[in-house]
Amino acid sequence: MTLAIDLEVLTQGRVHNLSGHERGLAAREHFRLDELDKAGEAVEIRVPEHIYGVSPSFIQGLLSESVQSLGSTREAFFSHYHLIASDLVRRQFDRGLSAILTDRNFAIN
Amino acid sequence: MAAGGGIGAAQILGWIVTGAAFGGNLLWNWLNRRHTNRVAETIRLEQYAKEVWERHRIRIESRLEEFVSCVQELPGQMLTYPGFAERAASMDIWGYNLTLLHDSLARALAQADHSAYCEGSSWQAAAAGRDHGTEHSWDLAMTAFEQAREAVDEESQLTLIKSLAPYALEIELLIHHKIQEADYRYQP
Repeated sequence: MTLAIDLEVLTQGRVHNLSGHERGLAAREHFRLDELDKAGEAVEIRVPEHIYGVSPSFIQGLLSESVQSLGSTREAFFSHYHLIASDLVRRQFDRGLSAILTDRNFAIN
Repeated sequence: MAAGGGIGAAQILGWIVTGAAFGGNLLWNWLNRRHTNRVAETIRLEQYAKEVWERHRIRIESRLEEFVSCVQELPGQMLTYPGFAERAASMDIWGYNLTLLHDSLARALAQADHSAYCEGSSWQAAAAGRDHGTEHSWDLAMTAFEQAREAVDEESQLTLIKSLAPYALEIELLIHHKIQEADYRYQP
């Protein structure tokens, strides 16, 4: 069975935008990403179709520590975490990761 | 001149002077041509760089205007809807369109990051706007929009939608500042 986190859990079909650093951190705790970072197999991040917006600060709260623990490279992160999302959301995740990789302050939050 | 039709020293000297002048002229023309070619090449490269930058600038300014206009028109659009339920349904479409326009702006800025002819760096990062601690202007705009979607009365919904405009202006100011800095590079 594939390891996965589904952001649908956070939205219950009602919310279309995920934003806020604090919410990202809360989601990280909810999904126990600290444990999943160390998992021996790849983890899917599933973003349902009704979510069209994911803000950079949410992504930073959710994934900064994962990026850091996986070697602080985009390639290492995406080899461990597979994003299942629309192109629009994928691009927003990509920008969020760029912000993490260029802003060290976020990486230690 | 030497007697008996022989070649005299003066004649030889004349040939040497003529030859030297001819050689000097050739060398001067070659150096001049080389210098002119270099100047022309520099001008062509500068012109090309300026044209590429202007294409990027036009694309960025166009996307920015679409994004800012969309935010500024939202309160007015809301007021044209007759009831709260109709408006709530339209909020999903407006939110999606706004996200698309912001994405389009961020992509235009990313192209500037990848170009050798756009002065400065972190163009794409400017799409997030001003730093507000752990949040940026775009984060706060998205949060305000989501709160407006969930608002239970018309007044608070309108207030929240109006609160997006200052964040859009922060993004606009930051990007305009970067454009101005890049423009200096091509000023004569």
